[in-house]
Amino acid sequence: MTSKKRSKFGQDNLAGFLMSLPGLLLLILFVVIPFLTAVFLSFFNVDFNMVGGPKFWGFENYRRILVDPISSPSFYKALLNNFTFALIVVPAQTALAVLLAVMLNAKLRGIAFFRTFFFMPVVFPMSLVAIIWALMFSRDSLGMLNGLLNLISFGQIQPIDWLGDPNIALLSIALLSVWAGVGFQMVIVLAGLQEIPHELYEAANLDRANAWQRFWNVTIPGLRNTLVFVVIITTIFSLRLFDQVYILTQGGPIDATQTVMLQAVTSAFVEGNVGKASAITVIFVLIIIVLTLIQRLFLKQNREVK
Amino acid sequence: MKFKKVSATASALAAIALGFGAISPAHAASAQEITVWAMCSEVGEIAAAKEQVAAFNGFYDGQYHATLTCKADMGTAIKSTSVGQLPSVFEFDGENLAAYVYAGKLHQLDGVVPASVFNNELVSIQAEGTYKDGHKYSVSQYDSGLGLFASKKMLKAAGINDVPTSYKNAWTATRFTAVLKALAAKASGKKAIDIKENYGMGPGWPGYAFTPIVNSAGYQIVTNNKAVGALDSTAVVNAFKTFASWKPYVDPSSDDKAFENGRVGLAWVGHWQYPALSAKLGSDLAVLPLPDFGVGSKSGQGSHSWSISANTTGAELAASNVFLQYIMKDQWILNVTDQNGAVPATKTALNKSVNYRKGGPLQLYADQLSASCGTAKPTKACVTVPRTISAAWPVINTAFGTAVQTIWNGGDAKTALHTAAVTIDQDYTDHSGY
Repeated sequence: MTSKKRSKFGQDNLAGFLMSLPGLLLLILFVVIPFLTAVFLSFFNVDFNMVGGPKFWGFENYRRILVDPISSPSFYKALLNNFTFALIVVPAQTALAVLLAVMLNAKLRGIAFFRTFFFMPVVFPMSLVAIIWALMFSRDSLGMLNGLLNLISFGQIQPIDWLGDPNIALLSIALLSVWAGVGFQMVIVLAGLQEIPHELYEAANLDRANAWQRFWNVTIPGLRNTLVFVVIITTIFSLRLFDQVYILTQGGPIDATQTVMLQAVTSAFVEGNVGKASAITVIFVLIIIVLTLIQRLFLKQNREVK
Repeated sequence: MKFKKVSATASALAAIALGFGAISPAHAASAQEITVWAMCSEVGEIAAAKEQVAAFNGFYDGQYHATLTCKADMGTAIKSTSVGQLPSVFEFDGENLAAYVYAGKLHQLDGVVPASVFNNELVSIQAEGTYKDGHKYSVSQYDSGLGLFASKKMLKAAGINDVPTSYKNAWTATRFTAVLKALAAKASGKKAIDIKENYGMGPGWPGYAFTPIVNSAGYQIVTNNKAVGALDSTAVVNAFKTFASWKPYVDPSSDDKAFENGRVGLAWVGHWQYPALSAKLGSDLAVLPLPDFGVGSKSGQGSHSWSISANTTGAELAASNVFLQYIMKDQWILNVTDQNGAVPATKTALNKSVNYRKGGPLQLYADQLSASCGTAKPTKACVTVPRTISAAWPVINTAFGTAVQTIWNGGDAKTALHTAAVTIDQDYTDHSGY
């Protein structure tokens, strides 16, 4: 840095500060203040319509969520479900998004139609998607999915209880979520694909690289930053899993699809227990901060390589 | 052309404005205004709400005037509105009465609404509108009926001849298992009953439809502010083990029509399905009591209630009282029950109802509701049990529904019900017993 630049720095700083002010204010208003309120409320026995006002009771909410033998297993199960879900959905959705994007990047007549078609589920509200899938997931032979399996297996595959079997329910939710969400990632990857310079492919052709080699050595490295972004955003999406389970299973069967967000919402808006809900969200935010720090570390290394 | 249109619209607007101008001063001068919130979830009920408010305004023209607001999600509306902002009169789901009283949102009605109105109500509704302080906080135009619908032909074809004729000779749970087995053997899809799994086995439907299983085993979910020892008692655990053993005979009814379309011979559901079913099945349709898990057949009760908000006073309170009395007239009760098929909640209206009076096809529901257990420990003599009248109800409903869902999906009944009971008890402790 030269001294000339340094003298300008103060002004830049002020302008930068002013320009970021609206954003900062919104962040403080909608993220920082609610979070601090949640931290504060999590130390109280407090709920909607409470007579006599909140009562301070220290770490009791945290004890119940994290330690209590009756109520804590449900939270750990929810956390485990969140991570299992992310582990299934993030790789599956990312891989599928790349596959679809490469296919839809082909220069064919009417390709815009197909792109629109695959993007469509993203436009539908999740509530609508979940209702439709509830019919497809029906556990009897009338269910569309069971009917299809029965048909193609000539009656060999017996009806599966997609949402009622504790071993399958989370997978069913994941299947629905990938279908509903993959279009979004696909569009991002598609944009990434179009950023890759065409010369690289020409050079690869000159080197007599086949399609697979071109994909592995040109497309994937070219998509690197896009993919990092896609993975991060998919992880965030999958950690806040809520709508599908709220509509389809309400956390059941036997907590198989319980999620942290579902527990927080149920505590606050069904049971009216604001203290417990606040404590759940505070714990969850701390977990997400840790995850973000890990991901930042990963991203930094990526930049250093560059 | 364009200008003409605009001027036409403008003159129309002016006419409307003039019209309003002509009417509103008359109201402002003498009529006492009240605001009314009605639950608007079903077409027939919306129409009935509008009709009775319009009739009230016509009848008391210049004296009282009610302004109706429709709320699609009344539970959230009331929860998120402070008592000062609530309307003079509002309708709500009766199961939430205790929570609203506890939160100080409801006006005590005895001493406001005449005793004759309460005395004319069905026993079940009197019980549901009474808080633990012994005071009345709501009136209801209608109640709900819960039981079994059956196809007489399908029962006969399965060789079942001991069809119950009243709640007094309901099938025992053991006999019911055999009935299901026999029906399933004859059915094309090998299923016997629709318990409305499609309504959701999680919190909600079980709180209404499967609480009678707890009651029929001889318990209230909460007895003396404690659920441990009641909800997780051996009798209740065994009842739910039997219930879970029926799953192979249960059609999940994802199309809501397992019974209506003849795939099964029985349906465990409420009165609201009667209009469609009687149209489809005609004289083949029978209404039966729920099975008996030891202490007699039990059933659910409760529906929408009306009350006055706590801060309503003076002339507004008097007008609100007149409004409640007006809509509790048989004429308006029958007007809404004709449209939604529910059980008229007063004795006089019930006797005028073609479906529910003695000898009517739905007399069973009326009989059940007249034998309400109230909040006492269920005995063989009574049938319907109100959902726990406690501000803890939202927690009870969630905990119980989760337990039923767990049991239904193969979880251990004892563990599930004990977990629910401990959760409920903790909520009572957290609120110093409410």
